[in-house]
Amino acid sequence: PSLMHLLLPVRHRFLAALSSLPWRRHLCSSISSRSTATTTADDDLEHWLEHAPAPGAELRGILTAAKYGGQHRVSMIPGSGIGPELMAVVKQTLLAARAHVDFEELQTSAEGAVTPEEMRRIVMSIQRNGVALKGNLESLEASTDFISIGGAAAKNAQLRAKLGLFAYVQRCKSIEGLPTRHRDIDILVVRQNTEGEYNQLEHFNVDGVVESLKVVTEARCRQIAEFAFQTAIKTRRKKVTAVHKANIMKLSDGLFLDVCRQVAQSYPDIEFNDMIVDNCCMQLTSRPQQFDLMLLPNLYGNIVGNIAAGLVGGAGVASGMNVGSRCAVFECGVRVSGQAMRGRDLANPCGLLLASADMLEYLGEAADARRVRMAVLAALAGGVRTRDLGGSAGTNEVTAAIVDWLQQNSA
Amino acid sequence: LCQPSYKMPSHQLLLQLMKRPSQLLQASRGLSAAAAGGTRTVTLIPGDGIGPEISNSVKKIFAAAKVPIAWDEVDVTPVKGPDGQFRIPQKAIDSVNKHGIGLKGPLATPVGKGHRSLNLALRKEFNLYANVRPCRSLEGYPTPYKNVDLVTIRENTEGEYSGIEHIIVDGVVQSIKLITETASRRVAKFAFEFALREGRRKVTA
Repeated sequence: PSLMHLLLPVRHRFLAALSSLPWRRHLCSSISSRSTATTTADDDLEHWLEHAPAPGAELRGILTAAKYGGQHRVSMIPGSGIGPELMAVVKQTLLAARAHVDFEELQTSAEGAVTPEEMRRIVMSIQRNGVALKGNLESLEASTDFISIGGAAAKNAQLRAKLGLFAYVQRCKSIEGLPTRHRDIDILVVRQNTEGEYNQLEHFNVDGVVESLKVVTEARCRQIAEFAFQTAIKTRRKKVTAVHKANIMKLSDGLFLDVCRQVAQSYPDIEFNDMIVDNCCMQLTSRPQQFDLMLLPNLYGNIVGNIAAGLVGGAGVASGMNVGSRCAVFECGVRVSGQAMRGRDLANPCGLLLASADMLEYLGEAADARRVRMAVLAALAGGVRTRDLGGSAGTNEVTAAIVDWLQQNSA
Repeated sequence: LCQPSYKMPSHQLLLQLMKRPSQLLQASRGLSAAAAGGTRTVTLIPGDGIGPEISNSVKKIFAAAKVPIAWDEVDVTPVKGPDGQFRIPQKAIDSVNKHGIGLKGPLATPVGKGHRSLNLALRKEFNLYANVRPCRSLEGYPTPYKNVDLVTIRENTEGEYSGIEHIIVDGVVQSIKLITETASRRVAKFAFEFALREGRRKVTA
């Protein structure tokens, strides 16, 4: 035991000691034994909560995730569009849930793209705090006028590259009480987040001819494949499907596919198959229940992730997380800047609230994460929904319902 | 390539699709032959897998419906040319150039290695720059999505399908997506003219 104590990192020792405290055990048991006051089927809710995708404390490094005076410190980047109003909702909700989280807000200019100075501040803050909650960072519109754009690359992609957030994990699960065309969907989309088509290496060859470079490396493919299988083990998923277009892009997607197959051999208990992306999209719209965990390169992951989110209810109820080896950034699964919806009480806060629940789980606050998720699912099941989900409530009404639930079911 | 239920393209459109002037005469000859009540010959490429079976079904159905079409069946499996390169057989190319219209079954492309996509080779060879796929809900076949009536028009010759790939160093691969103004303009023009002709109100890029 004494030798183990020396080998275990400081943080893990602290957490191990904490879990043995009597008051924490009591808290955990009381949450699970209390019956929910919602109309959601209990076993469905349990299944939803048990298979949460957040990697949890063990994937973090020793020095990340700042915590001062018992409060986790999280960078909050409202971004533009509906970001600021949804972040206010998140703060309200987490206050009602009595989560031990302090937010360090990083404002960006409301109009126009994020400036390099703002970008630098954001990156520094996330590197310091280790965890962030993010809205949408506005990039300039695509244009052939490259000279004027200069260094203004796509901001969200730039952030991921700078922080080394190599994986994007998006959970798409059918929500009880939400009418969609397909039922019983539970897909975890794991997408490579930094290379492939999103390198932003483009140039004019001659006037009227443009080349865009897609670079695929074996190291990154192996990293994302290992991450996917580890996540599959942790969330008790049985099948991993790699999606590719290796019949056309034989070298690049071929490399991705080869590496995925190699890594799959080290995990014989998990079923592995691969599918070409065009067939995969067709299968998603006709029979999405066949997919469990999907492993994809960058661009296909973006597209397939959006399809999967659309199948379960749309941008309003999907949550996504960008995971790196030293930090994690949580956001709405499908990024909608929502400039048109800004300030009109129309935005759907559920996606961002589910993302903040994932964030709490990542920070180790599993009990708080469960309560926030239960509150959101209760509101959705109870019919309090915004317009994009077929309801008629506004943002404030949905927020009030969630906050009420949390206050009634406080620890 | 031609689909049985699709309207016969207008004479003007057919001219645009042909790349060599000598073919214009043949095309117009073919069209006028059909108009005059004669039989039109169409190239048939059965393809791989279920291809031969479904091609047979098409032949039988057309025969039963007494459609004035004669089939010229060809095989597009690549053969080794005198220079050692694998090419589509000249017989197949000549057939399509002569008739101007073809019907093709599925052609499989090996994953990760092997020959390049034959579908792509055919598109490049005959400069088939626009891929038109009408998607309409079928009456009597219920799906979760009702009243679907959309057409996808896809640029068929370049982009990610350029096939330009390199291994830079061990473990690093680069794939080049090539976009040219000529091809983009061509397919955009086709799309809008198609929309006008078919009475479609909206084009989404």
